Amino acid sequence: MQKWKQAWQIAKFELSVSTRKIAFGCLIILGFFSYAISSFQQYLDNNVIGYDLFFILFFTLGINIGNPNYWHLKQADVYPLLMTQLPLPIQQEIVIKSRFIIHFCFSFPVQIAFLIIFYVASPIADLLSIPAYIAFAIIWLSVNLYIGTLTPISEVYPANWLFTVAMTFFFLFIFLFILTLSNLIFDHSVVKLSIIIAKNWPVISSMVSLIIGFAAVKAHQIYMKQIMNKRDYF
Amino acid sequence: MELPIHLSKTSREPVYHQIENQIKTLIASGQLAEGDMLPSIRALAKDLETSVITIRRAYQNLEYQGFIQTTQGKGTFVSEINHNMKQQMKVSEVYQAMEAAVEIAFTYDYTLAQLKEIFFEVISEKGRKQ
Amino acid sequence: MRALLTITDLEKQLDHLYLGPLDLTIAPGTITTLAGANGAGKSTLFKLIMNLAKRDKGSIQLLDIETNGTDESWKQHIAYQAQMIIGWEPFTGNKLKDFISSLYPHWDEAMFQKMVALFQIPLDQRFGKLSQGVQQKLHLALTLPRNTSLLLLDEPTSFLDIPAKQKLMDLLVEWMEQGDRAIFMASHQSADIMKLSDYIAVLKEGKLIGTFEKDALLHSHRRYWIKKHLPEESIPGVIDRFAHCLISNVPEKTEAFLQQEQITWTQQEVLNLEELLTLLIERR
Repeated sequence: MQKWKQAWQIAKFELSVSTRKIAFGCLIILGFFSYAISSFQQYLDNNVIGYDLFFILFFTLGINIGNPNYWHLKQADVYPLLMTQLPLPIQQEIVIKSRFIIHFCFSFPVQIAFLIIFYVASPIADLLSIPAYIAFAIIWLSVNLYIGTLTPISEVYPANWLFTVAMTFFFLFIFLFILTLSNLIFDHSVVKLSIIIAKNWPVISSMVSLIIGFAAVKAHQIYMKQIMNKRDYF
Repeated sequence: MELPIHLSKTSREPVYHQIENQIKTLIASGQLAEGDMLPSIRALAKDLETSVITIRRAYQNLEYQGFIQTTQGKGTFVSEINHNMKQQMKVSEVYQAMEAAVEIAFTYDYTLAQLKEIFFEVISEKGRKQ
Repeated sequence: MRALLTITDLEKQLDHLYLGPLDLTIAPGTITTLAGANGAGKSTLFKLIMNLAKRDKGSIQLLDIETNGTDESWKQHIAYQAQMIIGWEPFTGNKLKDFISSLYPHWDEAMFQKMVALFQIPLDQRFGKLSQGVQQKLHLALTLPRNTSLLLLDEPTSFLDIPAKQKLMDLLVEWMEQGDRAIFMASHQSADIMKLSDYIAVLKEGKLIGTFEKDALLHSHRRYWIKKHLPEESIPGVIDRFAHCLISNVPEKTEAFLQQEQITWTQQEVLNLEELLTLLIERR
């Protein structure tokens, strides 16, 4: 915990100048909010695949979904501010944790806000009681822990634009594969499936999600460290 | 620049030696008085565009010969020099200057007689002015 | 005295260059300049020292700590100024100072304030809004007061105006006098090298030609002007010759030969640093 505290000190430095980025991201997210809420009933009736995809992307990227820099094919292959911090006497572990914290700051607040508004504004309250909805929320917030935490890793991954394009398609393909699989095997799409799971096994599903989530956060830190120790920064 | 030291690009005399001799001259002529602080090694190296190794060597030699004294943490100061020594230094400096002039004359193939002529001319000219 | 930085058998394969094998030692109390043509590997060497680039072979130790090991405490003892800085644009000088000073327990606030006043740096403006010269001044003001044992400066004066260069030299002299410290810098500015360096490390195409004591290097070469036409035969020590002028890298031998041949020279002098470095970098 001490280390996360130190990492927070480092992250604060960057967050202090991120207001515009956050504001712009939130603006884009509002569009997602209204889409997610207004087409929820339609989704329940027709299993719209695009809806699932949006859900996964939103719970992976948070406001980065609206961050032009993120979608813009990476020009510098290392996040510049990170590059300036590497020669400073900050332990590598702390630097890594600070990147995770920044990702969380760009994602969790809007995701939680969405989950609250979603419950109030959409017909989901008819399907899930409050405890079951909390389980639903945990399932989705954990997605950020195990897929979303790949975002800070992408900041140090040595890549060129071709690689970035390839990876983007790869992930889209994986997502679509999961969505299709879910439809084929369970006859339900992903969001709907998560509603059913949260309703029937609220405790177990939140526990399992959190365990996978926290394990992934640990593993991704180690992975990021390995990448950083291998690559050159020019 | 704190000290009027000029290093020659043409001299074959080692740089540390040039510095050493010129500081001695400054002391002998009274431009540097007893107790005056000399620039730090690093600062003089910057001013004279030499390395600190050269300046350190010059200072060490000067200290060894009793011209200067270094007090740890305070700096380097001009020591007390006795009158005889100053006198000797003055004489040797005049000698050196003359020697240099003679050498130049020889590279231009002047004869001894011509050289003497020049010498007396210079003296009488300077003498008239004084 | 214990070396601050020790590089042994360092090797690194780059896209267009093979750096090393390279050995270098930086002792406390010294200023060493890394000289070399563009693309000789100067910045890469600095990045290898900082472990920003990863070595293929060899060892780089700062105060006996390997800079690519798990012990990261060496970073506390070295302040690195990269040639370019990207990523500071949205921050004001004040914010950058608060952040950086919090990382160095021996931060010298008085020196920082002095540099800000000397260079007239506006601390309330965003870094990205400043001109390149002012950015460099601020970068220096955020580097020197870290009070580390070693300063690693990559082209610290390239954008500075003349008065700022002069002030910086005085500041660096002052910085050096505060203890057993050293500066290792890359520079193309001969004034920086002449006024500050004790040693010059010459890098050519990834290889270190040598680390020379400045005055010894300057006096290792001499130029002679000759009255008569020179003989056709080769003259010992001479590395470059024109109709009435020759350059020797073994003046004693050359002079002995000339005297033996009864060739007199009208004038002789040492080369200036730029000529000398050009000879070292372009020849051999």
